[in-house]
Amino acid sequence: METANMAQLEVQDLHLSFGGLTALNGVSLAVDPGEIFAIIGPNGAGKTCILNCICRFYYPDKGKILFEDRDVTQLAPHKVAGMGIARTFQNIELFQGMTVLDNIKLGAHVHLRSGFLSGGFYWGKARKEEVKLRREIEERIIDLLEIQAIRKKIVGTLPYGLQKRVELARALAMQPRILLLDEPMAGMNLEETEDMARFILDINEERRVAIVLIEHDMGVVMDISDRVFVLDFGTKIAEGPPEEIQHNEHVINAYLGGSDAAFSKLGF
Amino acid sequence: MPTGLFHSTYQEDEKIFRTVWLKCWMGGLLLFLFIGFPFVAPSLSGVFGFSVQHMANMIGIYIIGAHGLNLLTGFTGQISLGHGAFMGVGAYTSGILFMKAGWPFWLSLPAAGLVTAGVGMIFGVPSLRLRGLYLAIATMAAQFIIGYAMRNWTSLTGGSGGLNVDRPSFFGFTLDTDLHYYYLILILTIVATLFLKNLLRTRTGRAMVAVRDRYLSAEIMGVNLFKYRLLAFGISSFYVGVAGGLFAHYNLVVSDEHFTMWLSIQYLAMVIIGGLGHVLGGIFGTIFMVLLPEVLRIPTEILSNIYPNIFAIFGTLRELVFGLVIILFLIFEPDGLAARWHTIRAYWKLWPFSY
Ligand SMILES: Nc1ncnc2c1ncn2[C@@H]1O[C@H](COP(=O)(O)OP(=O)(O)O)[C@@H](O)[C@H]1O
Ligand SMILES: [Mg+2]
Repeated sequence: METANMAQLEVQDLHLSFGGLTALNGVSLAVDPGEIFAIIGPNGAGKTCILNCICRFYYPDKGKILFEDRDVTQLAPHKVAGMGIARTFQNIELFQGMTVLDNIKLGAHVHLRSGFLSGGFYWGKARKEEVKLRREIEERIIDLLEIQAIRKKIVGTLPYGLQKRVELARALAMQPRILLLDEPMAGMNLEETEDMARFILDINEERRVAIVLIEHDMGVVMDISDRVFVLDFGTKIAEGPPEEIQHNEHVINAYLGGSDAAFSKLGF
Repeated sequence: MPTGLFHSTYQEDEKIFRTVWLKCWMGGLLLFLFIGFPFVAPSLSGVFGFSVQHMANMIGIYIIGAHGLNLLTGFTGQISLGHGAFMGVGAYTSGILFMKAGWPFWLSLPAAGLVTAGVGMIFGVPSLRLRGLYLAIATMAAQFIIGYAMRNWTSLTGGSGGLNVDRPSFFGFTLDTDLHYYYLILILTIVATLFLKNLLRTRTGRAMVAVRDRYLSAEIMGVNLFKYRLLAFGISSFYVGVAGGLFAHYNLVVSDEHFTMWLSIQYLAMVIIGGLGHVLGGIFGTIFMVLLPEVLRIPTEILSNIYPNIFAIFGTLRELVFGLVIILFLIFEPDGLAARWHTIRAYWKLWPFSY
């Protein structure tokens, strides 16, 4: 098949600035189907900005974004979900007043068809759809992420680590073909981090979902990613498999300042 | 087969009234509303000195309208100061179609809902750009424009003289007493309540609440913000339009004075006092707002019997107390009566181990 080499997500020469501040200065990257693609870089490097451009929250000054060979640069933000792109946020963006279950159900919004009339009367289509949705969520998401005990809890009452997990669950309900994760382990303890890494690997392997992972925990990044992309001041400084990045001089110098602490951070 | 089993349990779990207790309660409540209340209403009227049946009818009509505003403001997060006028659109639509065009009531009432939905959506278009108080001011324009039309489009509305509307009849049977009309209102109020409840637990309602809570996040989930903001205006106005239609055929005369800004504000007070974003909120808030003035009348009248010369003072005093009670309510029950109800229920569930 020709398409075997086609990148799933391609970002071409992305430029983004806020007033005088250049956040992205010609970033290009390509994520292959089914891979775990990590983006690392110091705070303020522009990592989140890349995701925001892909999700159409920010409008790049220049550049192109292709998803499965389709130009999504001009798409309305709410159309991105229907394309098969899901994300989680650095600062949790859940619906805090809703239950875990309702949050996850919202993730499936684009896959549901019932309108307000069948919904309001809870007749035929809507009822069938809701029950089927519930079963799928239970079997494919709640069991996988081990959140059975909290399904009826109000999200705002849950501890931070669990909220991160619920956000991942909601993104999964979108049945994405690519998952953009913005610092999914930030603020987690060791055990929670390990759980999250395991979930990401499971999702990637079982569902064949490509994953873009922004993460500061170098241990995790080097462990689970297929390729690592290093960003600094809105420009790429390196890209390659983890072992190569760990030994890349530019990365060690520019990104980590070449200090001893930096070396240990990179996992030496 | 485990799949079949799972299926039925999830289906159970998705129901509104899950436990036997709840079902019994609901059954009892319905029995009371359909059979018990009409029996006791006349004797209650004797005790309180006002027509309890009439109050119940007004409460039912306003509950439908309050549900509509609650969907828009409580669940979708858009304030409207135009719902008083929208109710007027429904009242005139049904009244005119029924009296002048000769439509049967069972067509003129839904038509009132649909026309009002259309009008509401037109005035909801600014929601594309405006939020919060700015949107509230934009919807206030509806109040002025529609009020102007009601007063000046004399050929259609009868102008300031008002429009006379007859009671509806079904198959030659006219709903001419308050009690007959009560059953019509009761059934429609129940349908409106169930529709709202169902809407909120399915795709459309969830999307609306998502738009209210975090619209950026909702957009990421693929929710078309404008579509749901506008749809909320449409459904909400449909509700209040039906309420208007019911009011027209009940009150027998409609004029622009019934549907002023004051009514819009009263609607807002109903959903805020009852509880924004709770289905029960529209019900509790309406009961409170309709009954409070009547209840306040009782001590006023007793006092004015004793001191007839200060009747005038107590007349205004009543309005003062009315305002005061609302303010106290907002201070001590900012989440509304529905939230209080939920905590009380949680308390009794655990009783006697609730300390
Ligand atoms: N909405 C915004 N307005 C102004 N500046 C922004 C905005 N979003 C991001 N920036 C700036 O762009 C740069 C990159 O931000 P970001 O992508 O969030 O970095 P990170 O790599 O830590 O995720 C930072 O300097 C940040 O201050
Ligand atoms: Mg960031």
